[in-house]
Amino acid sequence: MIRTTGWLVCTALLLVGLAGCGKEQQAPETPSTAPTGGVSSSAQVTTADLDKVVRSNKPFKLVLIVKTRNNPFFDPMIKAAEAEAKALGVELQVQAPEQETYKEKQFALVQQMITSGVDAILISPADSKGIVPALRQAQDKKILVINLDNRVDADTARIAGVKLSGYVGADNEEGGKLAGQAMVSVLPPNASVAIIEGIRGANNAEARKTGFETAVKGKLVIDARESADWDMNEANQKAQSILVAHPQLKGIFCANDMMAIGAIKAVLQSGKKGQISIIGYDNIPAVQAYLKTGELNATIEQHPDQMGKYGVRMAVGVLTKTLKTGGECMVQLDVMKK
Amino acid sequence: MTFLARRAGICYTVIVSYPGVISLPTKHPVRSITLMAVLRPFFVLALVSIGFSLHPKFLSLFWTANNLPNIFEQAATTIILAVGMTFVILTGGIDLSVGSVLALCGITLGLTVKTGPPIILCLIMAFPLGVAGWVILARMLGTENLVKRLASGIFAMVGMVAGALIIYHTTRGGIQLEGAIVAALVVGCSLGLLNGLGVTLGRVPPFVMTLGVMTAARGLTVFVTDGKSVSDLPQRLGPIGVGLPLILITFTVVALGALLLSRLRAGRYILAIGGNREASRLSGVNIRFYTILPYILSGLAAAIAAIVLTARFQLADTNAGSGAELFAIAAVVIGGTSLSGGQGSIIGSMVGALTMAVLKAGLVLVGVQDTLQGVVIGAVIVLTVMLDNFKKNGRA
Repeated sequence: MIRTTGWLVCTALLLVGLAGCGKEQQAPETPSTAPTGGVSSSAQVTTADLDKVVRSNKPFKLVLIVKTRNNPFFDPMIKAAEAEAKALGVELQVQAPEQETYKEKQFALVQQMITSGVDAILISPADSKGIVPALRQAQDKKILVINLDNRVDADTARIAGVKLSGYVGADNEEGGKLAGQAMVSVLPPNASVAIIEGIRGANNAEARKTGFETAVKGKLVIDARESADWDMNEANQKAQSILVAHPQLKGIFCANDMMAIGAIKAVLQSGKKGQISIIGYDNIPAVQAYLKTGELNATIEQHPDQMGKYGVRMAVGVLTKTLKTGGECMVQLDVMKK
Repeated sequence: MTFLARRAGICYTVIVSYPGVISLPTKHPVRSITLMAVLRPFFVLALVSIGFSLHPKFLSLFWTANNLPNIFEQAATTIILAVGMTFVILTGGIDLSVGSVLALCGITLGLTVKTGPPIILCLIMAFPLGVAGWVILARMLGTENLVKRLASGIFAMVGMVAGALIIYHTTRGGIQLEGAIVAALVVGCSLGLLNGLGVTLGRVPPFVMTLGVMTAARGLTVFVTDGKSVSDLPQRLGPIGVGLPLILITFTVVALGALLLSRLRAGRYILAIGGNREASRLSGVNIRFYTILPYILSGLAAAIAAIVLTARFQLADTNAGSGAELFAIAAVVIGGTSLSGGQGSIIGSMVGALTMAVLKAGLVLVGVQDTLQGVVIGAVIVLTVMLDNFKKNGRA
């Protein structure tokens, strides 16, 4: 009896376990973009420059390695990169570890790609420092490395002698500034605002906060700063308390959209609907309804699809020698409003 | 040991064959909790509230008719989870999976309303059916030899898969909200059952078993949604996640839990198992069943928490409930339930959860920097238990 049960339980576990290859998910924000990058001679490249890159007559082999396919942030990036590769006449394959935390797997993937003989690696590293030795191996084999989204750690790269061929990403601090400017534009001078931050110490969370603070300095008063660890429910609770503690509050900036939803509900529950302006970040599908009703004043779109697109263009540009190596391209950020 | 009297026949046998053993229950009286232990969580809550009230800002902002329901609402999910967790901890176990099960139940609710659940969720829903079928078949066929055991197992598996397929096909395109709520509750119970079976039949330590389910459920949540939250749920779901309905649901869960623990036989058995497993077994308590039951209750609690949380935001978040298990355990511990089992109370767990909510809100109100808030909450958890031990030693 026990044996049969054992098998039954094992099978059931297996069934559940089979599908359990997902990953505990952060909100779909750009994962950590450090202000300093692994590209030493940071020559700015605009998207217009990259648009000039023409179709390659040699079918270069490119590989895009992202952190995981399970984060919706990478979905548009992958799709756009694939479309662009097709348009430019190069081959692109996409590789990703099952989970964002499988950093060694990503390392191994880079090594496998080096062995299989690709011309360029486009990578959004899961571990900004840990990936560097693998990138060094790629460099030794004369394979181009283009960094997308999350920065390769500049110091580690310099020490290991890694010189990246380019970077394409979004500037989170700039996004924070845009959010701050949007807040300034909807509120009267010196109005009281609060910031609900992402995980303390995460590069993107800090950059967004810093950007917002810079933009509102001298124009609005920041009365509360609370971290809600990117979590909707936590943000809801923090926002409820903030609203009680600061009755004069006029606006809340949330460092991602999930937390913005939490704040929107807190405002609704406190009976202050329409009196508090809320600005989010990431422009996820779930907030579209709130943008329409005006409960969310604005959110920032970082265009991960453009990172994929221009990443491929940059790789092809460098491979065909129409672009210099070491260029940095910041994709456009947009303020999404009603 | 009043409940033993109901099973006088078995008790008699025990006395005859194990004269030394029957004295064990009297040495370890099965009592839900002492009066001091009942009052202690209230004492801690009062201490925290009064302590904060020394700050003028807290005094003027906290004790208002607007804010007090807020605090209760903020504690609601933790209270509900803590009720289920109390039963598990009373048997000497632990359930680390509640946070992930919460997320999966929320996603089940969302997907069932919008598109119908994917096949893997249907399998989970049909799992209790398979287990029940297997138990019945095993009784009917007998378990004397491998062939019979295999036969009942295989038939049950077939039944489970068939059940899953029926659920899958009847729910395509999404179903009514009420049906989706039932689906979420079933998934919660099912994963609780899985935990319970792993702990009892599989003999996996509760910590490891529920850790496994915690990881698997979180993975599954992301797998079935691609990590995207399910939004735009029906408007009429909204009201149960806020205000009076939420408070009523929470109180109902607490009341039912307290009733089950202190007034029903199942509750006494759960306490007895936590107090002295071997004595309970010898007294004729169905150890296996009453060890599985708390995990099912915990899974059910996670599902209820998922429903109110999903309703609150009209959105099922794949990231919901991360870390919720730790808050639930902390609430239970502050509430005076012993982690080694056998002693505790449901009301205490509720007060424990409220204490943490007051702490969290209070620290924001008085403007303590949020990086320090965790330190304060952690300290209160540890100090409460130290206070408990201190008193216990004083008595002994």
